[in-house]
Amino acid sequence: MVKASIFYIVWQIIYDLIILPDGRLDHFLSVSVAVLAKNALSLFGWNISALDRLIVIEGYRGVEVLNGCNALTLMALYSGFIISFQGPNKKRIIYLLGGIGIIFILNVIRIMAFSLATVYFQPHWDTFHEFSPFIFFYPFVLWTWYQWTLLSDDQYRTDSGLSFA
Amino acid sequence: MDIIKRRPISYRLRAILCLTLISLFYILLIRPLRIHINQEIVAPYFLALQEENQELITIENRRINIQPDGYDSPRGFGVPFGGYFWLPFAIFLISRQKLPALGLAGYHFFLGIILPYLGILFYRGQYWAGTVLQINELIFQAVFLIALFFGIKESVDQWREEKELKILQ
Repeated sequence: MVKASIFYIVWQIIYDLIILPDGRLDHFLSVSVAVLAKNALSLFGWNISALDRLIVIEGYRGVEVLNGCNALTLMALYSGFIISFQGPNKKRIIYLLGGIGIIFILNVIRIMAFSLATVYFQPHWDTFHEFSPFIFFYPFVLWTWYQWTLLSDDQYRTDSGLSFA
Repeated sequence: MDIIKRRPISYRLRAILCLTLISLFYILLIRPLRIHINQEIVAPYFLALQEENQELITIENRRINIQPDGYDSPRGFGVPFGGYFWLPFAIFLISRQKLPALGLAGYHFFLGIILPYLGILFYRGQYWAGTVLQINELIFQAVFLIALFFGIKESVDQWREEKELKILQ
């Protein structure tokens, strides 16, 4: 927990001092999520347009992917645990890259859902937005962390077995 | 002397009861109380700090945001003991993990004191306090997720043990 806290503090300082003022990473994540969500919805036949971070289904309210909505924070949160919790290093890289990739994809699906929410339940959009991490992100993050701790336990058992042999 | 052996409440029933009661407790009492505390105590204090025609502070139901000149996005804090406390707390209660539950409660008490203070410092030009508020946002989410994770993990382990015991009986 201490290791994870240090990781999060260092990450937030780097984010505040370098990544946020630079703006490119946030902009890339937000725009690519918006464009991919727009393309996916177009494939399903929706008449939808995208302008930078904004996507709009024709005739309905737009959805703007702000910095707080591009899932970068969640990627850092997810990574902090995987980095801090002991485990095999080769698989750690797979879990890190795979997890970040899946969070990105889940965010595209989430933004698609936000856009569809403007059509089907606009009055409840804010509530949906507030609880969306519980639907799209947290189950995945918790499940992957669990798998990671199982791997970590396995390695611990193997290591202690070797040391006693 | 007769000893009455009570059958312990099953794990599943305990989980359902605990989650339902805590949800009701939160929705009926805690949520309105958090809004009341923010609107009636915290917000007026912060608004009083603000000079006329200044619009640096925005008040939400359960949150205060401060955006000094030169900042693209606001920094702020929410009233602690929200859903991000009660969900892991309920899971700790279900799995009878007293120490983590107390630790979580202590953390939220600490936030209740330190966050408004950091907010005041940030408003008064101590910009490092803004960075600490941002760090807190991340740590806050991390504490929630990690508490939830270990709470659920322990719960699942206990539930499995109970199941195995039943099979053995």
